[in-house]
Amino acid sequence: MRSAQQHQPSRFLKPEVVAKLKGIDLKARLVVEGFLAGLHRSPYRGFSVEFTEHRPYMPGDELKRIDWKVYGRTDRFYVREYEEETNLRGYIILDASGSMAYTGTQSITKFEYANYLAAGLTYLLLHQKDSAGLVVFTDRIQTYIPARSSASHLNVVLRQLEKQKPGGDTNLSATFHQLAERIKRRGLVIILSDLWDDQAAVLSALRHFRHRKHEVLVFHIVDAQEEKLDHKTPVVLRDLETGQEMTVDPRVVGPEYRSAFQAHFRRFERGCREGLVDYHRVTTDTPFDRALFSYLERRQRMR
Amino acid sequence: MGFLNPALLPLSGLAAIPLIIHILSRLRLQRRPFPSLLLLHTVKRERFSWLKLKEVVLLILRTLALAALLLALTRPYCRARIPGLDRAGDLVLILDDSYSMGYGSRWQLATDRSRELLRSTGTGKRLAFLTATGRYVPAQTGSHRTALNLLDSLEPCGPAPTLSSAIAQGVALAESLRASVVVITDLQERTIPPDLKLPVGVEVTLEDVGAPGGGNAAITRLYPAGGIALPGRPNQLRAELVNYSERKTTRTLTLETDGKRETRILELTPGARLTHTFEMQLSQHGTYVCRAEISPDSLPVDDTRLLVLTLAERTPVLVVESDRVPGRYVLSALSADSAAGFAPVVTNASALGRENLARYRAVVCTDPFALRPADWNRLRYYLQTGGACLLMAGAAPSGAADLGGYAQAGGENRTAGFVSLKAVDTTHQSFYRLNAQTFSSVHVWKRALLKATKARTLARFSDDEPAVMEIPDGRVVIWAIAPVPDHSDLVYRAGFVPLLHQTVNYLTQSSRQTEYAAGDTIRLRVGQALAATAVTPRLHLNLTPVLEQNQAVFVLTDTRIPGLYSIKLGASASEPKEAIFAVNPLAEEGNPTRASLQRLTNQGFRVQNAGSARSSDLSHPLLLLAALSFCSEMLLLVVDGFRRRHGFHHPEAKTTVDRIGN
Repeated sequence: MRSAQQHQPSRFLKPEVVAKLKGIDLKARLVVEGFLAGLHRSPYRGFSVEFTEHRPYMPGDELKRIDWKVYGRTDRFYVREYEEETNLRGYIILDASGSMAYTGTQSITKFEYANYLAAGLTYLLLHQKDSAGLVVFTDRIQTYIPARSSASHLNVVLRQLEKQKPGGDTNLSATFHQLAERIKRRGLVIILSDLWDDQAAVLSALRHFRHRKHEVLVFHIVDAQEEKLDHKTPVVLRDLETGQEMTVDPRVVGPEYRSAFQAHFRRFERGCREGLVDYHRVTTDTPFDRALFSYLERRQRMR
Repeated sequence: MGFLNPALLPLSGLAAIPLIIHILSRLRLQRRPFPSLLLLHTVKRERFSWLKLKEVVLLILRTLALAALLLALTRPYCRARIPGLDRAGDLVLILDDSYSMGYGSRWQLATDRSRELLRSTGTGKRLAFLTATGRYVPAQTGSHRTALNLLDSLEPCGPAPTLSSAIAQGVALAESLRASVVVITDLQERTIPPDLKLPVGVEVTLEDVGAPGGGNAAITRLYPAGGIALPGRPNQLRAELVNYSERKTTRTLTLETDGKRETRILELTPGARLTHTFEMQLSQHGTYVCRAEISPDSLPVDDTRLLVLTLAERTPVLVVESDRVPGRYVLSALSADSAAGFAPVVTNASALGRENLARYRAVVCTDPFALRPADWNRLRYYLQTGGACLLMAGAAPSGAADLGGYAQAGGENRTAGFVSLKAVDTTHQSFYRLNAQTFSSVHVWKRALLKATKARTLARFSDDEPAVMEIPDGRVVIWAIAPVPDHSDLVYRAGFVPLLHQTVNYLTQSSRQTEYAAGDTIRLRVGQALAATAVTPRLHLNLTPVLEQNQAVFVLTDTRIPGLYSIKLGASASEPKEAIFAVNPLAEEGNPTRASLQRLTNQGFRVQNAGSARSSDLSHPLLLLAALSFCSEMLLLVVDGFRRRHGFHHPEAKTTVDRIGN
């Protein structure tokens, strides 16, 4: 099997990041389904390397699952139940709406930051023999790359990331609902977005994923300037999605904006926590690799 | 609506500066992309109404303050209708620019009103502009600019005894133009004489800028008293003050002479006239300028009075005697006191033609009837050119005789009995401090019967015939007594010498006029001079003499400003090098007594108050508006700072923020 290392060079996946990612697993915490033996627990009781229990034979069970040893001892027919370790289907949901094109004082936009995260997560999934898929959306799904586990799939994802440009409106909730219905099999849904939409609708859509038994991981990407709004002079702000303009004096509205922003975060945190959605906020002034690793390490400790 | 300073009207455009700054600041605002304005909408909703309101209100207040201030500079006014002015097409405007118009705010009111009237007449109408002091812009179409320029150059410093001349000229113009006449004045009683009548058909409106009850005190006279001023002995100067006010006033009166100052504090009751005498001693001969001042008030022009005092070193006097009336008694009397400073020279009337009269300050003629016609001609010329003369005309011929045109001698020289002197005018400087009793005991056996149509009688004989007369111009005094013992015993009386001294000093003091009223023409006659320089309170002028009767005469006509005037003669002059003159305002210039409205109405004038007829001056309300706008702006900024400091939140908006979150 070709290694995930054998990918074409990409600006979103640097060798030093790859080197660091090699020693890290991204395991699903919740039960997911996969088709290969792997790191993750599967809800299915079928053929597997790990026996769990016997149950009486029912008409229709496969004869190959009958435990003949138990029959020899008991003259009764019992089938074996197995817990199947399978590989993870990871879906990276990447927000490419106009708001993701924002960069404040950093040299990197939120979208680029998300791309780095997406590339790293894709590599990680593929490296641990899980499958990874990519969904890019704005106000609708722009790109849908099904989850694959082949090594070459990384290049497919990276190429898509490189050619993708942010822009357009956003409709998180509708897109999430659509994806929740579209992704049939349980998997790990990793959302990379700045979540600028109706908060209640977004949380509702995230709960839809959970209803479909997916494990949801949200990376809430925020720019530092977007969070602080600390311009020194009045400024005309233009909404990157709607084009609407607003003149604000950050010295006047800044404090209230910042407190509103924090409240906005807390509501997402609370909402995600209540919905068993793993929520992680990252700001673009934090190097993405540090952000990713710190999250993964924290996730590992919490298993 | 009009503007008193329309030239400043373009400045009103500067009121747009706050708006321009506002627009520029908005244009210069940096435009930045932002991910989403969702949160800002909630926050903005919280403060939007206050911020926008504050911004708009501040812009309005700043624009209003600046606009009001700039408009106030243009002195806008709402025009008032002038009765009669609309009917007539043309206007004759007369402005009283006399000194009294400088009292308080009269001049400002008068010029503002004049400006209004000049601007309110259309440019197609004819406009004539006159002033009380004789300035004049003839009536013609479009003369507004010329009139306004003249108005801008005027000051209330014109000596104008009355408005009669200006009104007469204005009325004549109005009759020819069929125009209305408006006179802007303070309605002083003296300026509009009761005998001034208006012709029928001419409407003259008096716009009153004065106010009743003015608080003015003035010095009306300053003169040497107590005889003639002599060096080395105490002299007196008298200052006459008047309080025109209806309130008691305390004023400081200061006399400054020869670098010395004396000050008195005087209380003047309402309407009081007070005379105060200063004693001073001047040790040297020469010319002294005496300045009397009272503490200034609203009309300062009459708070100062000047006097030029000349103490001659020795006064050259020519004594003209005849064989019939010798001059030795006069000569002896004039030489009696060396301190008196006379330098008498005797000549016989027959030799008068050989004397240069211009060398003498006074001529004492003991027998004027001995003079020939040619002598009289010379004497008259001498008198016209600054000389003075004492004619001791006691030895009259038996028939009628003419005394050089100054008086007529009666045909009979009465010798029966004797007469004495009575009714001596001791207020006259000739008789000052002389005991009237001294003269009542004088015996006069021979005297002349004199008649002079315009002479002032200073003393009479006991039979009421004039004994001493003064010709009004103060240069000729006539005695009806001859200075010889066979005519009277006057020459033996103790009073003869001081009488003679005081009379000659009086004549020589007034031989050159040194005090003038403002507006008079100063004329200086000198023997020979090619050029002179005049120094006035405001100007230095070069003067060229005019030849009159073989004498150089320097003429100075512009004496509107009270003060010291001097004429310095050039090197070629044979006279003393500098002559100083005191120009004082008219004594009653500051008298605020107003002409009665009834009298003016009876004379045909229409009287109205310039303040009420005047258009409303909008500059003060505009300044008030500017101040209010500025204060409101400051208050708004303080309130905004308080709101920010204490974190004021609109309760409704907080709910909105929560709603977004939920």
